[in-house]
Amino acid sequence: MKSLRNQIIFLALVLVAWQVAYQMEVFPKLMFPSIGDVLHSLVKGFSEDGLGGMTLYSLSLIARGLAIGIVLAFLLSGLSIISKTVYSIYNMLVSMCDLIPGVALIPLAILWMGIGEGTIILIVVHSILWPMSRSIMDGFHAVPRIYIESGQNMGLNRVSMVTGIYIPAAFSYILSGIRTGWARAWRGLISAEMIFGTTSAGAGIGWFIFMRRTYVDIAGVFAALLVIIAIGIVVEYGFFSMIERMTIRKWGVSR
Amino acid sequence: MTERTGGQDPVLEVKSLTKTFSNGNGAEASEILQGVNFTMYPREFVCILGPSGCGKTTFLRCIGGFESFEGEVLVDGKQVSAPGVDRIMVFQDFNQLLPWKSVEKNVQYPLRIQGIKDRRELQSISDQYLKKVELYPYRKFYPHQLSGGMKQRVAIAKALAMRPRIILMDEPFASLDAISRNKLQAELLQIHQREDITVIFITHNIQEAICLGTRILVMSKQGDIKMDVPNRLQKPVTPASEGYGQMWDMFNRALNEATDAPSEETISSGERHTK
Repeated sequence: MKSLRNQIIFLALVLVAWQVAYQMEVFPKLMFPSIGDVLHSLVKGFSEDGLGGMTLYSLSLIARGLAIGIVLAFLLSGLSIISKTVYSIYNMLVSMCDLIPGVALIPLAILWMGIGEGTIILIVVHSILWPMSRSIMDGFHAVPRIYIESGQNMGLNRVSMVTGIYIPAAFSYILSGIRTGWARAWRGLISAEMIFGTTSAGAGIGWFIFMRRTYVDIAGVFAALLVIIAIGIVVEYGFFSMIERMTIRKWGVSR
Repeated sequence: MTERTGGQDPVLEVKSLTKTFSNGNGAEASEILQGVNFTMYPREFVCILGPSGCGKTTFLRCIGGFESFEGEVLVDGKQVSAPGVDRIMVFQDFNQLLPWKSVEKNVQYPLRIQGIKDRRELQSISDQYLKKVELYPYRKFYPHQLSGGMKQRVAIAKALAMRPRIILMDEPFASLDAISRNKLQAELLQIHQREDITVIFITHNIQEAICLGTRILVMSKQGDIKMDVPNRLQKPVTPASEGYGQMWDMFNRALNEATDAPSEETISSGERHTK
């Protein structure tokens, strides 16, 4: 409760500082909207400019990208525990691909695959697969030897070692990998959406931000950022914290 | 030297077991165990005493299949080289229980892996063995909520429930305080007297070896078995038991000889801790 109070006080102070800066005209008003302007744009965004639909569309792309990315990351990291050959190759692949920003792939993806949902999802998968695999593999390698030996002693085969020992034992790493993946997915998505504009299937928040910029509607840009932040907070405190309480905290492996 | 019940087949045979550790690339390999031979019969409780670094843990780990080695390890006449459910290890490390499983699930999980799927059967087995180690009331707890001694008792219950041919115990009580240690020794002794189990128990504690073992080995450098004697003292053994003193002195002398360091003056009564 105390930490919640501190968090609220901190946010209130930021908002007050913001409003004071606005009133004192520290920055030009065109570039620095008031809190009221941002809230107004937020309401207008949802009621008139289709921000709600765009948010849902972005979320659906993220969900699909995350689902594919998580399955692939588990599958490939799991295989790299079972087979040393897979590990050596996949580890190299992760090291190579993790450095390439999703945006850098967009020109190629557009030329090869055209502008479509599939391309955006590919960018999202690329943004999350490598960092998540890195976390999962690091976690697998940090599993204490005693759990592995216990597992071998119980007669676990190589596949059930992954599901029965490695995954639960590395769960805090895996959770942090999924968190990173989730954050990276947004980055990949928004940049792809800003460059792609609309596809035949629809437009997302990235496109909304891009359009607000062309209209020099800074309050509108902030409204879209607020939507992303709100989604982030809901997922963090609603989903990730809950998973944490149900797993690593309950098991006493995390404070 | 040890008594044998007539015509029984050995449960475990170790033949010229050699284990070398190479320290780094191309550097000299050092022999931890050199040509160790050892035979063990059902229901024996063998305690292996030895100074630190004599290779007793490595010996146990080779039997458990956790190390590669030269030579042969045979369980019921069949050669083994990998870990298996016929040899269950109880480690010294308190963290051997899976922290993401409750106490009873820790006991049930290996049984489920072995193909027991019926929930009620699993429940009755875990209840039965947790009662044996007096942890039935804690069956829903998670390992991090237990003390070190309780965790070790769960590990023992888990090993017993799997009904292995041999239970391998690597100083399971070494990190416990004296009171818990005595309690767990008494419990384990009772379990051995009631159940049909065969145990190899590594320790550096003479009192523990005399209390628990039906046969006691003293190991010195490179796994050399210096002494291999039956323990005929009436169980339960206390320091007041007849013959305890002589036995303690005998092992103490053998241990001092097994240790290269100049022998220290022994404490006149009670336990000398080599740690």
